[in-house]
Amino acid sequence: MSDAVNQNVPAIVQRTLNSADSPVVLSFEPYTKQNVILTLEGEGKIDVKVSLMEGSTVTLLWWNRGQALEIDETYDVGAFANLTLAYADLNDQTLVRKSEVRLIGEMAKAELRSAAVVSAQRNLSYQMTHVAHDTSSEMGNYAVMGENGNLSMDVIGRIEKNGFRSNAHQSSRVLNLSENQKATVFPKLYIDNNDVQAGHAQSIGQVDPEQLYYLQARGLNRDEAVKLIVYGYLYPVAEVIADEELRELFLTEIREKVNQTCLT
Amino acid sequence: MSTLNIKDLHVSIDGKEILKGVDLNVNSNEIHALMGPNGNGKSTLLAAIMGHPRYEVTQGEITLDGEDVLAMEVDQRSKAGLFLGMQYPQEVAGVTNSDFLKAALNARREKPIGLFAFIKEMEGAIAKLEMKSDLAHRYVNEGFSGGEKKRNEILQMMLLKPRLAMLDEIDSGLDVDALKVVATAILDEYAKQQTGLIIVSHYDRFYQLIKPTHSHVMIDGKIVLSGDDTLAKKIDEEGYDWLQKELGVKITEVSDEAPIVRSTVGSLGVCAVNPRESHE
Repeated sequence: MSDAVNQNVPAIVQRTLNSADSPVVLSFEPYTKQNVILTLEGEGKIDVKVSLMEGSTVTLLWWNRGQALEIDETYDVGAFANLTLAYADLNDQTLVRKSEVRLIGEMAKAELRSAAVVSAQRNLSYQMTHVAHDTSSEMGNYAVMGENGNLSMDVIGRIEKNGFRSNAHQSSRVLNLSENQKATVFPKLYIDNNDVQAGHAQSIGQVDPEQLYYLQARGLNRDEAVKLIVYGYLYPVAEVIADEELRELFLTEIREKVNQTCLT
Repeated sequence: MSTLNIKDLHVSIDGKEILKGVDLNVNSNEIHALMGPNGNGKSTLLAAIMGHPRYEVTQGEITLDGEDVLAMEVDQRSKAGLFLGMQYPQEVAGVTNSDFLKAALNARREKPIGLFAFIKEMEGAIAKLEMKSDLAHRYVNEGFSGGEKKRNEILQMMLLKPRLAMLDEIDSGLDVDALKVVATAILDEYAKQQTGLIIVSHYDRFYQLIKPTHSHVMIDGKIVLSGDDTLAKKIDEEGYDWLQKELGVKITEVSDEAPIVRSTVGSLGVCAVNPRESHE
């Protein structure tokens, strides 16, 4: 991917990954722009190492179509580089994911959004590590809990000693569709510098019965109504994607997967 | 020709009886004004017909063209041709109005509606209701003003083309000009589709525009008086006190029918200790 051309409207690069490819190394040249869709297939362990060199702008979309995957991702984001990560984990397979973004150059920026429909074991860890000063990170995680879903999610913001004037923000939302599920979210902030801004927010809730009634009163059956609500719930994940074509692809992925899933 | 038939309907909320034996017949090509002081059961009647899960029918029957409405799920009632324009329309974040309307239309069709046919119909209705053209791409009722929400209800009615439409205080939140726009849209649908209408409003101004063919006054869970369109004017001028004297009915204490408290997604806010705890 190092042969990326520097242009204003980057093409969308698609790549399929499975454990045979591991480790996967992606490197983005200075001052390039790139949109990448990574589709996960197969099962087993995958290590992914990504580095964004100075001033590069990269949007990475993750489609999870694999089975029983264990993924370890690290991202090194250089000075003035800009990383956008969007995850679509909408299948019913188990998943262990450890994702760490290291903001190693000044003014480095990272945004992460995840959309998950959980009906199996999921152990997720999303971490933003602010190594350099004037770096910023934002994480927004949206999970929908289906039957037999078991989610454990660490959401970690870490600002190291030299990370002055950095911003680290995170929010996590969980929507319960089933009685028979378990969701645990651990928001964590480790801060070693006083001159920073950091915050976290969480919410957990059920589908609003009044909302359901409203949609049903317009002719949608319960299943159709819940799917529409879930689609709307996960929609903010797409808002982080600046490129319109890429955003549409992401929304189509969400819509198709939500439609295929048995939620009620 | 359609007929909604309600016989001896008793309805309770949380064990408290609100409707105490309602009889009502509404045909196509009829406009029924339903009046009465707040808290006497008007909204309850409409919600019970639509099938709100909180309203329990304890006695009586509702049929639409002979079909047992009470045996139907809410969505089946909608597909059978019932429509309720709600007093407090819900917001659905992340779902655009056009996606919502498409889903509602497709739910009652064998084959999904064609994109161009849909856009044409939606844009026609938006223009007729003098709504902003970006409405299709906005999330359902989110950030809508009170008046926009009410117009959005009528927009849905225009697209879904019900056999019988119930409008619950659809005129509240509308200014005089908007009132005319909405009334015209309702009357055009009525003329085109021969829709039967039940209209709840507190304002004679709206009834003047709509010109009901029948009027009813509901007090303490019963329809105590039925008449023609002059009833609305008299109530607008004289209130409900004269009914107490003439009919000997007792008006229950006026308590505003407050919106049902929603059990929302409860935010635990910043620094939540136990994010697993769910909020009812």
